[in-house]
Amino acid sequence: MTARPSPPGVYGIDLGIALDQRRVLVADHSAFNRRTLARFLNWAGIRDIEFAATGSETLAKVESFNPDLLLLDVVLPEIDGIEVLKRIRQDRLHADIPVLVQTTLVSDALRTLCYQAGATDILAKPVNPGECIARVRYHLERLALIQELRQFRERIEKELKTARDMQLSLAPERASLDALAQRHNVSIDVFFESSEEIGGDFWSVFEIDSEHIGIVAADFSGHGITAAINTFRLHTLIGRLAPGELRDPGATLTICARRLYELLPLGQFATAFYGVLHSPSGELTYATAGAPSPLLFRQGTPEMIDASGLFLGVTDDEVYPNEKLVLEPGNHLFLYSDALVETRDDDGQMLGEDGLGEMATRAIDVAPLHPLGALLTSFSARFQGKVDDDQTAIWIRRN
Amino acid sequence: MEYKINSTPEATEILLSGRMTFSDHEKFRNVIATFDGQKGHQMVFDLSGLDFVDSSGLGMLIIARDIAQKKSLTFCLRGARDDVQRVMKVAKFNKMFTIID
Amino acid sequence: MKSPWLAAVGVPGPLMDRLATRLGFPSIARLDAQPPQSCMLLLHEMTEVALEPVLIHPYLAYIECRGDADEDAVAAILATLTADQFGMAMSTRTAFSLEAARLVCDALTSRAVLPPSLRPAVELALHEIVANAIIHGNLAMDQQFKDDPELFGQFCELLNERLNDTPAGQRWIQITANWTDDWIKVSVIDQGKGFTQKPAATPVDVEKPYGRGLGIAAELASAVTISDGGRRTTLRFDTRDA
Repeated sequence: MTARPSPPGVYGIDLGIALDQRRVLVADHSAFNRRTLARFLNWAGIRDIEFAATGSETLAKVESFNPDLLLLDVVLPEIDGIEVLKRIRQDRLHADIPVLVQTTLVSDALRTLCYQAGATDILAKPVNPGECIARVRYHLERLALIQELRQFRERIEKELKTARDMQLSLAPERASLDALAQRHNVSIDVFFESSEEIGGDFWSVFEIDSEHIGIVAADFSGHGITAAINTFRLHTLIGRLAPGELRDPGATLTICARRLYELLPLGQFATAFYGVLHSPSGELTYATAGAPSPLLFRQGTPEMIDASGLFLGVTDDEVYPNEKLVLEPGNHLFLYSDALVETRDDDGQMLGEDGLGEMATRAIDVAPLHPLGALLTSFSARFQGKVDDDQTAIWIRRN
Repeated sequence: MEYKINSTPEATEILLSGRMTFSDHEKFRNVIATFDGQKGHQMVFDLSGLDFVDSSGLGMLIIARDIAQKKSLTFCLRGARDDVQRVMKVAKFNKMFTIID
Repeated sequence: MKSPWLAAVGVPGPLMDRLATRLGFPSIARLDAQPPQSCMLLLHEMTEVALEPVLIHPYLAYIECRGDADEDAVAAILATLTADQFGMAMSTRTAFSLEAARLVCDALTSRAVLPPSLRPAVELALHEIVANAIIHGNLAMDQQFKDDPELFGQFCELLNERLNDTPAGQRWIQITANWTDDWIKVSVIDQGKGFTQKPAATPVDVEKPYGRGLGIAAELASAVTISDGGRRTTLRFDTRDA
């Protein structure tokens, strides 16, 4: 009969992470210590081990062997362990490698010196097997978990970037927007930015027929992925509507409200403005669902259009009425998301509708045909870095 | 090895702890000295505190059993664990002893 | 072979010097944390408290050497231990009160010789062999204990007497270890009469209260060899797959 194996995890908790692919560099001047440490590492399941006997050899091996962990003796010829450690930490490529420093002198001052130089952990010499194995395993497992987390993060980032591109593609491209504007004798400028990779704001300007263009701005509750998925839902809903329905903003919002009520989980909803501009006459028919008040510039002072109404998605029996106004040539209509009026500056002040109106008025003075750029310049001068919500701004001028 | 003895009218419970080895003969002699009682009185060895037992320790348990039999006391073991349980298995103790757990 | 160094804890200087001169070993007066390669350590007090801090250092051997020690005997032991990779030597009385098997296993583990997976088996098997060397070897306790309180008492008294009051208690117990990448061999050497009949070949009578030790060791080790007329027992453990 052969000896029974002892229960697993004699030294430390075994997380089941295999260490046999891990590379460990043992830097120790004594051949006896190198051999001993290598055996301990073998016991922990580590097979890929290389050795260095001097400081300069250690640095060279860190470069060529690219270890996952370094067991470093403080006392090394040529370049001492502390200096080796400092140099490794300065090397961007290997700055993250766990380094376990072994030392016979365990005074607090020396330990502090080791940690200051960048030691991950300290092993008192002579190194005993239980402690050595447990600590090496701990640091390697930690490394494996960090790497796993990093890979997961990279994957999510990549997917979010794809999602962002998809969300951006919901809105019309600049070139087709310009062409549309030209056909209907208007100028259209748009600014759109999510606070995270993807967000809950949705906007679109589209041609219904040769005389009508639709203008939609919606803001779903929350940010991030959930809100973004809802923008795709709304985009699909609108895309399915017939031109006859689309020419009637009240009917369009009534239908969308009903569908979203069926689709959205409790607590998710959207504010919306939907307007249809009859380009030959300048007549704007619109319906609203609790959106920020659009600003209308006809003469001098800005006018705030009432955009109240029940949010989309909270009930299935709301009927949204149509309102009308006329945009004469030279008049402006400015739609925006609440981030533009609710963000606080350094003094904790919000811009508010009035403030935004004044800012927009000055922007019209500066650039009468395309005021949005000037407006955003003065906005970011005051609120740069403060905005933590999705931002949308659509500026339409009838020419 | 350390031992503790709890007696009731029906049973004597002997709790052993630590390492039970060849160097514990003298102590075990004291344990055996307590073997007494009516016919059928129970001698219970609780081994749950034992970390290690060697062949001398096993021998002492056999002696204890035989002495109990001569005095018409019933004898049983309980609570062996880990290395102790392993050695008892190698020595086929389950065939010779009443083991209650 | 190059002579090993000699170091000591608590051993009188003159005794140490005489031993070093006699054997031609260089001696070191002061103990540093890391002993020189191949160094034997003499200990005045061979207790667990004294051994534990020095066992983790790679000394070649640990030898009990009291102030009143028989110099000839110590010198002889030191000379034989030069042949082994690890050694420990002490009086029977000391071995009786020491958990020698555990301490040897501690030393071998810290030298990266004994893998943790093999340790319980090596420790138990070695313990049994040390027990045999003490009880049946050096103390010559031929009389087996019996299932009679009286006789068991006699056995205990005789054991104590031999341990404390006779030269038997002063006889040496030596434990040595040698290893390669494939195996570890631990040997226990006593100074008893030895024995000629071959034990353990016959199945152990499970009902008997004695005679199990060697059987247990044989069960746990890869091989058991008995030599020197029964005074030396060697256990081999294969480590390749451990």
